[in-house]
Formats: sequence, structure tokens, C-alpha cells
Amino acid sequence: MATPENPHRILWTDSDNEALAAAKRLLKGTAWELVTSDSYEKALKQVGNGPFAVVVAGQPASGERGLEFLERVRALNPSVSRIVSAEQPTRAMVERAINEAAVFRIIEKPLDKSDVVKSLAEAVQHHVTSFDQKMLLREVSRQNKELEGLKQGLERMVADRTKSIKASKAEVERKQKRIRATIRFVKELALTAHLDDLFVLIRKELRVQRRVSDPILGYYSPEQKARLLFFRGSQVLEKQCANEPWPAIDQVKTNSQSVRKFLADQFGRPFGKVLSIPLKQRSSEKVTSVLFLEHGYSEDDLHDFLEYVMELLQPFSITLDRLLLAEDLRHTSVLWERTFDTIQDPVAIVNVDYDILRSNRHFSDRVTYGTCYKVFAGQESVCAGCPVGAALKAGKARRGEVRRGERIYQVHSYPILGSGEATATTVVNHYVDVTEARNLYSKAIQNEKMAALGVMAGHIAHELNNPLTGLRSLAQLLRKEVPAPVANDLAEVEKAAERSQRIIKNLLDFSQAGENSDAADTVSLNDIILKTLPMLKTAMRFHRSEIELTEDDNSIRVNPYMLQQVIFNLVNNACQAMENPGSIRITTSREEDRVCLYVRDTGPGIPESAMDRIFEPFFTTKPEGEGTGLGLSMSRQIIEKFGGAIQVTETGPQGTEFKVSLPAAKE
Amino acid sequence: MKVLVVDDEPLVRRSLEKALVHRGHQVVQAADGRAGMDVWISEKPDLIFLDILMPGLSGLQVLKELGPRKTGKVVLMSAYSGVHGQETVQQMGADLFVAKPFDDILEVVKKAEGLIA
Repeated sequence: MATPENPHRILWTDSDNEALAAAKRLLKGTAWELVTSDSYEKALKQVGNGPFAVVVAGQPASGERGLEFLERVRALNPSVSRIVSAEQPTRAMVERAINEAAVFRIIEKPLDKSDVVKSLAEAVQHHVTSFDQKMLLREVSRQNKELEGLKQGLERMVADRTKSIKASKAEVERKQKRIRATIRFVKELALTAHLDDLFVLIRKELRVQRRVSDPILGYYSPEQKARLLFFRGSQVLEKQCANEPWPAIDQVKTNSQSVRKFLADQFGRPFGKVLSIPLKQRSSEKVTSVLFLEHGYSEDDLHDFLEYVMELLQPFSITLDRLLLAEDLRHTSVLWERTFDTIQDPVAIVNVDYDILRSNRHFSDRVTYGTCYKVFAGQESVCAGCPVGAALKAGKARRGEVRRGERIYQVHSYPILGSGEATATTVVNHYVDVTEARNLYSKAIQNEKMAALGVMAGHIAHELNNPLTGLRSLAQLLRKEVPAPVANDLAEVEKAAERSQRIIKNLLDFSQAGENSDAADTVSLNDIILKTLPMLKTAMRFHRSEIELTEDDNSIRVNPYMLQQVIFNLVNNACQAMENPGSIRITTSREEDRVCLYVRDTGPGIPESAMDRIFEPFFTTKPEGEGTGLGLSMSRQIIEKFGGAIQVTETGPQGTEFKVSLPAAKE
Repeated sequence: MKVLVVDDEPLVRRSLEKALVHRGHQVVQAADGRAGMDVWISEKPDLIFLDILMPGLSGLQVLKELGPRKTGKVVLMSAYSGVHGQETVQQMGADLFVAKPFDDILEVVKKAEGLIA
């Protein structure tokens, strides 16, 4: 790039040599380099050759040659500052100099030094400035050119890009469409809650491909049964695999002979080309589900189709996995629930606040929330004897006894400890009904007591019977030998002895009731009743009696003598219960596998206060001396010995009915 | 006739003796099985009232030991009414069983007299 001249060169041309000499003289000692020329032609050549900051041209008084020169300089190098020097310049000349030659200044002749130097200095400065401007302009235009180039490049690029974008847009749209379809499919999959729905969905997707028939899905149910899901028309059907399940398929098989045979066996029709696609399940390492697709694709088309299908099958497989897992979970959960409910004892899972987290049907068949003490025992606060607190505190199993109404439960509390946990916040409560065991235990004690009492009663009876026999007999004999007043006294003695003997006999019978119980025979209840009735003649003499004996088989296995005692007691009690003449009704019946005896009286009924105690030994409502309080107790003992039961079925002002039921003898 | 009463209960012996004497019989007594057996052998009674349950020898043991030396008719007496039926009484070598307590002592005596007739 050109630079402003420095030191600045000045070309001075004038046809008048005097003027040139004057210029030389004036510029002597200045920094400028002065070049003079007396020929415009030469000077013009010099301007073309070398750079000058300022060109000064003298303008002769006549003609216009100086101005012409400057005009040509301007055309040659416009950045050079131009000055015209003239003697008395005319107005026309000035106009032309300014307008045509675009001179910087007009210097009047004769030349004045200060005027010349000042003008030249300004002209040089002008040149420098205009040069800079020119350079700037040049740079700007160069840059503009570059920009233009860039712009053109960009436009080309944009055009290219637009072209390629347009080309790929179709592809993108196609892909988008597919992605949208997949998303929609995935969304639909997410909403399926049932295997059938899922199956219908995949068929819908597959139907887009025209050369595939309806799919068949092989999967394993929670019970590990191999099952097949398939379509009949629009209906989803399911069946269990006959015989063997499908052959193992661990990768896509395009046309497996064994699969075709398997399907043909299952569906009873020949199969064409079958695509078998394993559906890997996350829940198991093995491939357990397989999608079978009968198709009509050629080898080449199959690739594209497979690509399409695999894209669908990924979400499908995940959903299948989810549904099978859910089903499995449901199955397991139901199984557990059933197991829980099947346990015959009440079971509940309870937290520190005694809130029920879970309970089985035997715990409560209606309420399943609330506190255990409220729901189970109907208590307002923790049951007495509850082991839950102790079990939680100790972190070990504890047991206790609680009451639920009439029944007694032994509660086993097992704290549930998570792995690594030191303290438990929940316990499993297992309730065992120990009421029977308790009753049996107290009954066992009772039986023990009764046996001891029986032995003792036997001894006492024997010890007393002998002297009583003598006492009574002697009284009988003496009565006949003494005068009347004494005889009357003796009669009282005899009566007292007799009463004593009767009591002892009862005691004796009672004590023997427990013995020889094994000596049972198969006998008819009716026969025993008929044999016992004569003994009751005295007792029944004031009352009407109705006897109604069943015609059904009434054989039982008992010790007949003992049963006679029972009948005797019941009928005797009934007679004694009726102060006024009433009626006694004795009936027998066969009730399924039991043989029953009913003894009914028209007495005043058993007082409510006595009801609970009538079977207790030594409990009696009869006047002192008349009853030992052993009759019913002994009767129950006998009946229970032979697997029977005795109870009051009815009692009230209209009368009382006792029922004895005994197991019917087996053939 | 001569009647032997073997019983450990004095009142029983006494009342039976009274009743029997009243009926005109000769009565000998024994308070236990051993003594009863001795009297039985020496006196050879026509009728014997024999209690079963006695200290020392029981009535049944007496009958057993006596064996062929037994004379007269035997009336066994016991409070074990239900246990010994008429049949077993005869098997044991007795002729009659009377349950204690007696309802009427004179009836008992009359029944025993009947054995001799």
C-alpha cells in the first residue's frame, strides 16, 4: 500500500523560469523536496512516475495551459494537492481552477514567502489527509469485496443446506411418524391392565403389515403352566398347552420346523412360515414368553418387517413383563392371604400402638382396622395379660393369656425384626383358644377329686352300713317287746337308721359310678328304661306317666347298670320336683348318630339361681336328709363316661325337660 | 335248730340272735372269720349267717378254707349288693345272699328258715 510521501515532495512547474527560481529561493531551508519543471509535458510525466504531495502550476496570463495541466494531474492522481499560481487571476480562471482542476489553493504572483509556505504546508496536510482517506476507502472497498464474496458463499451454503434439509425432511417426517406411532403404542401399553388387552393391541399394530396373520403368545402363568393366547375372530382365547410346552427359543427364529409342528399339534391345523420371537423378561433369566407370527414374507422383506416388529416388541415385552409380574404378585398375594385366612387360630399383625396392620378371618371377619384389644376382645384398653408390650421390649417371643368374652386365649407375640434392626415395632400375634384345655384341666382336677371322694364314700358306706344294719334290726325287734310309748321311740330310731342307710346307698352308688366303666355292652336304651321303670313304681305312684319309645334303632354302648342309675335319678328327681300330682313324660328318639332320652315333668322349674350348679356334686334343693346332691352329678359323670351329654333343655313354670344324648352304637 | 352268726358288728349279731331266738332257734355267735370257722366245725350248725367283709378272714375265705367240712345252709351278708348276684353266691358255696342293710330283719330270718324246710 502506498504511504504519504515523507519528506513530502513538491513539483513546481511554470513556463516562466523566473517564477521557478523564485520558488526555489522561497523554499530553501524547508523540509520539502522541491522538483521544478518548466515544461508541462515533462511535469506530467513526472507526476505519472513519482509520487508528489503537492503539484504547483504557474498559470500564464494568457491561455489556460497551467489549468489544463492540473486537470490532467487530477485525473492522474486525485490525491495530490494542486495549487495554481497566477498573476492577477481572473474570475473565469478561478472558477475553472476550482471547478475543473479542483485546486487546493490559488497563489498570487509575485510570490510572497509566508503565503507560499503557509499554502504549501496546508496543501501537504491536505494531501496527507486525502491520502489517508483514499487508503481507507481502498481498504473499505477491499473489505466490501471480501464481504461480498463471503455473502455469496453463505448464500450458496444456505441454498445447499436448504436443499439437503428439504431432502431429509421427508425422512424426518417419516421417522417422526414412526416415533409418534411408537409413543402412542407405548402410551396405550401403559394403560393396559390385562394380558388380553395387551394382546389385542399388538395385533392392531401388526395388522398394519398385511402379510402377517394374528399373533399367538406363549407364556407361563404364575403356577408355571405353559399357556397360549390366541385369536378366534376378534375374540381373545386362552388355553393351556396340551402335552409339552413350546420348544426352547432363545433367539429369533424365522422358520423353525419344531415350532411349526408344535403349533400344528396345539391348534390342529398346518402352519406356514412362522416367526418365533423370544420376549425376554426382566424378572427371569430365562426366556419364558414367545410371540409366534405366521407370515408370508420372503427372505428379503422379512428383514424390514423384523426391524419394524422388534421396535414394537421392546415396549410390548416390557409391558408383558409388567403384567405377568403383576399377575404373579396377585397370585402370590392371594395365596398368602388365603394361607393367612386358612389358619384356624386368630392371627394379627399389630404395631406398638396396638393398631391392627393385618389380620386373618378368624381374628375378625368384619372389622380389619382399629386396635387389637377393641376388635378382638371388645376392650377399651390393652387386655390384661397381653404379651405385646413385653415382646416388643424384649425383641423376643412372649406369651400371655387374654379373655375374649367367655373364652380364654393364649397369645403368642412374635416381634418382627427387620434385618439388622435391633428393635421391633410390629408383632405377629397368634391366638390359641385354650378354653377347652383349661376346662379339661379343671375337669381333670374335678374328676380326680371325685374319684378320691368315691373311694372315701365307699369306705364310709361300708363302715357305717354294718352298725346301721344292727341298729335298725335291733330297733325293729325291740319294738315288739316293749310297751307302746317306747315302741314309738324305737320306731323313730329305726326310721333314722333307714334314712341313714339310704344316704349311704346313694354315696355307694355314686362311688361305684366311676368304677367298672369299661364294662360296656351294646344295649337298647328302650330295654334299659323298661327294666328301670318297675323300680320307680313307688316314686311315680302319684303321677301320670307317658312313655313314648322310638321304633328306630336305639342301641348304645354303655354299662346298663350305670345307665339305670341315671334313668332312676332323672325320673326320681322329676317325681320329687312335682309337689302336686303331675305328669311325667319319658321319650326316646334317634337323632342322626345319637340316641336321646327326654325326661319331662310338670313341676315348677329349676330356679335360675340353681341352674349353674345343678350338676355340681353335693348340690341339692331337696329338704335336708332327702337328697345327697349326688344324683345329677353322678348322672353326668356316667353319661360323659360313655361319650354322651346331659343337659336341661327347658325349664320354667310349665316344667322341666332333661335331655340325655348318647352316641349310637356302631353296627 | 342251731344257728351260727358270724359278723364283726356286735349289733348285727345281737339283733339276729334276738330275732332267731324269738323264732325258737339256738344261736351261737362268732365275731370274726377265724372264730366263726372254729365254732362252725365244733358246733356243726344247721344254718349260718356269714358276713363277707370282716377283719382277718373274710366270709368267702372262711367258706374256701372250710371246704368239705362245711355243714348246714349258708346265708351270705354284704353291703356290696350290686356285685354279688345269686349265681355267684352259689358258686362260692353259699345258699342265699342278703344285702345289708336289711329292710326287715324278720323277713330275712324267714327267708333263711325257708332254706331248711
